[in-house]
Amino acid sequence: MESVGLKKKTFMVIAGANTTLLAAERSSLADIRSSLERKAAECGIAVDCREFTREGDMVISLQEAAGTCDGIIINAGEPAYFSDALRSAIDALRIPSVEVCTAHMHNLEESRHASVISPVCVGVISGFGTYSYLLALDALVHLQDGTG
Amino acid sequence: MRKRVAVIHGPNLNMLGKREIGIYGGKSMEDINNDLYAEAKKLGIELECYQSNVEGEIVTFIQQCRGRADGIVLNAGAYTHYSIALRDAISAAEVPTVEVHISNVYKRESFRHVSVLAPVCIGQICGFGPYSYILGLHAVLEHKVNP
Repeated sequence: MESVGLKKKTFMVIAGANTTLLAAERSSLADIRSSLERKAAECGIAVDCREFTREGDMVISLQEAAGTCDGIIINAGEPAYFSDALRSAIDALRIPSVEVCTAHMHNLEESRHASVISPVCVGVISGFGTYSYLLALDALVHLQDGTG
Repeated sequence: MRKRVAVIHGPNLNMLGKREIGIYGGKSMEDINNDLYAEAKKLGIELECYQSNVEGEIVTFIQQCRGRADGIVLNAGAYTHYSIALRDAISAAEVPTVEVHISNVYKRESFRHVSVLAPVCIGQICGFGPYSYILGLHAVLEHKVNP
């Protein structure tokens, strides 16, 4: 593994705000942020949590992450279903991305069953509310460990 | 009482470590089960791992989980994409079920993008190799805590 000296590993957590989910299924990154930061700290990792309403801003952050972060957790919200720009931005990264959907994608309307970013992510975690973010963190930590 | 979780491996998963290692990795199903049992011990839960290649046998096993298991972690393999019998068994069992896959099915052939089980499962985890099962175990336990 590449040495990063004393620099802590950093994962960028990207959430697209205001998705059109049912109110009961809507949960924001803010609800889980402190748990994420705590769990990351336990693993010796820093998390950079960012929420966006604009697709283009997510693309900018992904490009930034290329040089500064070791992994991505992304819940793109609405743009996940159509954004080729996001897909290309993730595909261009050389760090692993994990896609998160707090609601179960397959329980949403048919047009939301397929995310265009799933194929360029390492894996997908969908359906566990905000706990999906914590599972994604666990998954990324495991990937960095390079075990099994 | 200790929570009980069943892990179910569907068709061809008994061939792990031998078939298509590029996709599924070098770990055998026994290795994966050993990791799961170790994790279960750490979590203080009871775990039972089951494998069958036969759709009907998996249906029977899922039925037997009713009232007996607090959660199911299911890798139904190829049955994921077309087995209405498994879907009905999950509905009937009324046990929270997490769908897991070793590979990221969305990177693969389009027939693997469809899961007929997804609507009756609480969620889906795919792409993390054998670690998908461990994540699934955590997910199904968390579901019981915060339904």
